[in-house]
Amino acid sequence: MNADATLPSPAATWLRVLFALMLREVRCRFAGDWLGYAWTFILPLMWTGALLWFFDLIGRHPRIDAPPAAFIATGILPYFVFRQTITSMGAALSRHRNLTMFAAVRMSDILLAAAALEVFNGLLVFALTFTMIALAFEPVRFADPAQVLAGMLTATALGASFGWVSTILGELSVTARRLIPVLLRPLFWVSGIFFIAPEVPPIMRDILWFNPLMHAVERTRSGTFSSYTSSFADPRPPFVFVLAMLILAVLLQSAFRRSKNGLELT
Amino acid sequence: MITLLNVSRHHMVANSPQVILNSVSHQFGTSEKIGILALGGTGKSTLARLLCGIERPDSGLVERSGLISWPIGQTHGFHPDLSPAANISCLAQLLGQDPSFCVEYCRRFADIGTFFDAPLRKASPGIRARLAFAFSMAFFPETYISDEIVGAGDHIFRDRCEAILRERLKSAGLILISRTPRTLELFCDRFLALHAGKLIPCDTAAEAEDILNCTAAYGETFGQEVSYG
Repeated sequence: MNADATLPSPAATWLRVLFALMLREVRCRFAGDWLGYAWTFILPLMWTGALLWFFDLIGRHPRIDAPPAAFIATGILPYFVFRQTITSMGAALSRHRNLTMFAAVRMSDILLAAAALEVFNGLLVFALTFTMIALAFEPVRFADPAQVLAGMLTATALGASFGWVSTILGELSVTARRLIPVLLRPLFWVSGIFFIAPEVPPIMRDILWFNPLMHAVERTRSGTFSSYTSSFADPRPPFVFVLAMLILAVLLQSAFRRSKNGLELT
Repeated sequence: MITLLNVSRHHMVANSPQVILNSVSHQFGTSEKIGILALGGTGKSTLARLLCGIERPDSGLVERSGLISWPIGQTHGFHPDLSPAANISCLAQLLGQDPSFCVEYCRRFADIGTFFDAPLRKASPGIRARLAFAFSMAFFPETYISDEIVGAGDHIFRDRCEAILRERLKSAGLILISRTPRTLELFCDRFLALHAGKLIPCDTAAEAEDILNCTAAYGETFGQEVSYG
């Protein structure tokens, strides 16, 4: 802000703010914990390990020709990325809301930066988990890496769009802030983490078609294993869901303008 | 330059509107030193946030041109788990400034010793205030905006704050919102009184004080019924 400085273009300023917010989020998340940011990558590994142990305990095996660890990873990672994106967006706003005292920083910048960071985190977590699987068991040869990428990005987009709405609702209502995580909990059981679509009865499959996360999981799994091609995975439900959430977010921001504690919903 | 065009803003307090600004139009020149006298609880911080572009008005338009500061000396932007050095580096990146310049400037100006590299949560409120003021002075806007704060810490450090602010005001403007007429007189040469949602021009800070004293400002400000079309 030197006196002789010229004002940068709005787009350049916006990108700089997003990048700086992402860096600040990396520095602030888990600050004070000696493992620090590593928790972002440790947690999904622990989830995969715990579920693998649980599968082994109950003697369950995948219904397709796939190593159990990789099967579980292709289910839990899209789910984890979805939930983590939602959680991170809410947490990022709590952590950085005071930065809105700088006119260059808006609420939507904080949310977008958190979501963008989760795209990188999700892909890194995926690579790290499959590296660990290769080291501990056997390497996985991906049937269609583009499908895997599409599945993971779909899960992130679902999380980001829902996270946007849930964060705004959380700003408007304490009840919503407490209720939303509870309402999301059943997704763990109905998003195909433990099963593939052909395993469930047709009537259940018809109901699950409306779960956009199930399509992301199926796509990831379909792209990972050459022994499984999902006829269930459909891009339309996730696309419609993301679009609906973004429209809802814009409507909420326009209708309420600012949160109960004065945060501008911009 | 900041221009308010028919700006209205209110808060809801116990389901009744508290007027902050009621159809106010006013222009603040870039290099002017303007003091706004307002009673506590009548919207000083909200007005500062409107002028800085942090908040939007309920109706009307706030036009801002040139480099305008955030409310100076505010400690809100710091994260308690990061050190002052890390905090300043992050914020400088956010604001498009040279992080190493800002860190070094604040290290010298705030003069808080080893606290500068320890997590901020270990620092006292006084140290945080020194740091926040130093950070505000690490930037060179065309107009400073202050919500009461023109210094921090003990009297020695306050003198240093006042000196640097005076130095900066040789080439920059200031909009100082305060409830203390004496503070306004120290830094400003044009005065306004914020009363019942209006900015009333005054010749001196004492006149602004008289206006607020004579008009039972609290009663009128808090009790006023407003409607926005």
